[in-house]
Amino acid sequence: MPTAPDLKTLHHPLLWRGKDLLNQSLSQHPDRVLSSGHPELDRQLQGGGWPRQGLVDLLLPHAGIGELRLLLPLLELLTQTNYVVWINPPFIPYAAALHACGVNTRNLLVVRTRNHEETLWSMERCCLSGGCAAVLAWPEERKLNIKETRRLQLAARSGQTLAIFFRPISAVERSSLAELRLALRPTENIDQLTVDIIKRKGGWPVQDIRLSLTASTQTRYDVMESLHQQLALWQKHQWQRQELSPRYPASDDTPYADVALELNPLDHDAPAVKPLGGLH
Amino acid sequence: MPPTHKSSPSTGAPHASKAHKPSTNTLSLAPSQRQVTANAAVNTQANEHNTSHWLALYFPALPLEVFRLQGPDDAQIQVVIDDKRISHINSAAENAGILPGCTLATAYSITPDLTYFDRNPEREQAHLLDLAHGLYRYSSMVSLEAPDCIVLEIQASRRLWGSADAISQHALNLCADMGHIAIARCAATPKAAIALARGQKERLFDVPLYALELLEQGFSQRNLERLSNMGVYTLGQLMQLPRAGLGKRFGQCLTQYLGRLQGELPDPRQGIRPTAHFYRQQHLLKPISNKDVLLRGPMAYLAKQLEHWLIVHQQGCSALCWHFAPFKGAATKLPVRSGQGRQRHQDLLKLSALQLENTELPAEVLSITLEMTLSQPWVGGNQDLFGSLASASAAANELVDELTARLGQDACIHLQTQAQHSPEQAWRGVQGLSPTHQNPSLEADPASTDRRSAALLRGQRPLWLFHQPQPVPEQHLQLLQGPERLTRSSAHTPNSGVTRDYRDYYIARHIQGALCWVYQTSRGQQTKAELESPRPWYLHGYFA
Repeated sequence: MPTAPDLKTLHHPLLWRGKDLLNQSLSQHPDRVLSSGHPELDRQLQGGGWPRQGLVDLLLPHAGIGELRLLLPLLELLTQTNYVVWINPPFIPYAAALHACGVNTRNLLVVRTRNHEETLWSMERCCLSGGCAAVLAWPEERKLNIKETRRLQLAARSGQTLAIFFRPISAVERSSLAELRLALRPTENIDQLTVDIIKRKGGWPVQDIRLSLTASTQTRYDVMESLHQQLALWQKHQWQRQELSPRYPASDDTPYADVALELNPLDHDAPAVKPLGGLH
Repeated sequence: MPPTHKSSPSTGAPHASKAHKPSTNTLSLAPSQRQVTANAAVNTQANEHNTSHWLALYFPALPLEVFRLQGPDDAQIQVVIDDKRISHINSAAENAGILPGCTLATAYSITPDLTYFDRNPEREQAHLLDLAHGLYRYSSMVSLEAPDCIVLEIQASRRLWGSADAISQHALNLCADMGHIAIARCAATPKAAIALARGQKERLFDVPLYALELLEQGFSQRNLERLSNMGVYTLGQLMQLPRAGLGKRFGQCLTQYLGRLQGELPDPRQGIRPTAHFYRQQHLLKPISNKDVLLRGPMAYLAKQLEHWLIVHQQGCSALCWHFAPFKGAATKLPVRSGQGRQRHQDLLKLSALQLENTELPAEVLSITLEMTLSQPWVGGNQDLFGSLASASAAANELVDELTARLGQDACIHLQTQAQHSPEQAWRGVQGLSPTHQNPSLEADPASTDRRSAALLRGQRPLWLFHQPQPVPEQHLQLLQGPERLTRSSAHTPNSGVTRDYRDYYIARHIQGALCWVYQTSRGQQTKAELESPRPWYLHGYFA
């Protein structure tokens, strides 16, 4: 009975193994990848970082779990010299916060589309134009099919643009021809994010990469144990003082809303109320 | 002053044979005649070198070509009728055996499926003028010579373009691009250039001036007959005849023509003036209902004209308007805007095509108008070989223009921060790209207040901001940091330092795992019961 060859000891110059792709370090391909800013993630990605061109799928259970903090180092790097386009973000990318994190907000472009076809068209145009380095898009998951991911992957490749799709976690089951697929999960610790690599070049899927997000924001969000109690106490004081002091005339509860509507051109075409925590 | 000739005009016949061989016949000629012949020879031989001041473009197929834009393709047999006889035919008609000069009935008897057009001199002149406006970029002196020639003064432009040949090649390319076949010839005088261009019909290249036949030179039929009766068939023969006698027999027109031909008399020409405003209309013979056909046919032609106009005026087009008119009823307008001035017709057409996709056109378009509404001085950009910042920003400009054309005016915005405390006012979306000419020193200075205040906000503001704050139950939240009280800057009450409308912002963890930015609003005048109840929480952003 023939024994199976021991793959680990099999070294032959003519035998190419997919693992070799992963072993090529960042120094060998400094032009092809962009460091993600998270060393734990860089180690797992081919070449040691985000691909400079191609389609990347990020799958999230819901918005706000840290997907932007994951990308902040990348955005900070790219926006210094290049444009980054956001297509149909679910909320307003808050310029003040992005600016505070070192992102050059002048080079951010936000594009609003009316339907799925326009989203795909804009994305393809952005990929092919060479005017922007990265495209972040939030497509309609129900209408997205595998052919379109293939088309965008090709467009991103030929236009040398990094295209990133934000899709719900349910899309794990659906196949995609993206270069790299990552599933993000929140952890019990707010400063950490768990990343599963579902698909990558030159390697098997990897589970449970824990990333610390404090590096990108340089802020720790710790639970303040006594905050609630302090708050309650302070509120009590406040009421007492209010009862003593002369009352101020009654005012509208949400005076901000009107101002916001006038000032933000994004508002009128966005739905007024979005389901809490829902991505789409 | 024309030289006087001793020989009489009646001895034209022997001269005819001599005129074809100027090098051999000089011995038998009188001295003055020798001078004339030498003149002609110099004229023709030196044309290509330093004395060719004028370039004439002759359009032999113009009467047919003016119908091509609206008409069907070239595979069909097309003829042009002038004075009840066929004057111009296309290659398909030529293959079918139709000859110019026959009647329409004869042509029909040869092949029944032919398309004929009545010759339209006004249309020809309009096309000629369009071409002349396009050619204006090669010379400041462009004049029309009815019915089928354009004359350019190229002496002044020769150093810029290199040589007369280079200019004529450019001009021919431009005419071909506009869909016209042209013959270009250079000469020392405009009349000579025209004569040379008109004479090159028989596919003989570089026929010298003296050997040109008189047939195509615009002489009247009667004069042609009389001259041929005299045995004069070529310009060379005509030039050798004594001027005074010719003037007596044929009128001063002929001697003036000959004088101008040889540069002995001045030939002032009226140049065209470029229009200050671009407005062109294209009427179609057959209505078009397909957008693709529109784009490739009349719209491309008009866009090319606009490009020529822009080049001549050194302008870039930043806004234009198409009008598509049906036979009856109001025209559909299609305004197209571009962030920066554009000159190439491909760019203009691309933007128009994107916008055309979303536009409802009349079912049958019969007339198209292109009007340029806004232009700006042209700034030529350089494409970079190594893909630098400048070329990337040019590409980004183009991208934004395309996105705006397809998705609408306010679809594409860039973000700006503003020095405001209220979260809704601290950012602003502005259409288009941010202006590139900013002060770089201010940007890079780490001590500037903008940067310092920004660094303070690091981690204190959410990356996602909601369009509208949403109520959230308190039990879903686990408060992490806060409070931070934010007020609207304009809402200060005058007599106390305390502000009336404020929000207390906290950073909190949602039970689903997201890091949120939540707030409680201030209390206004409320009842006791309301005071006792907890204030509601609103979710205003995610630290995504």
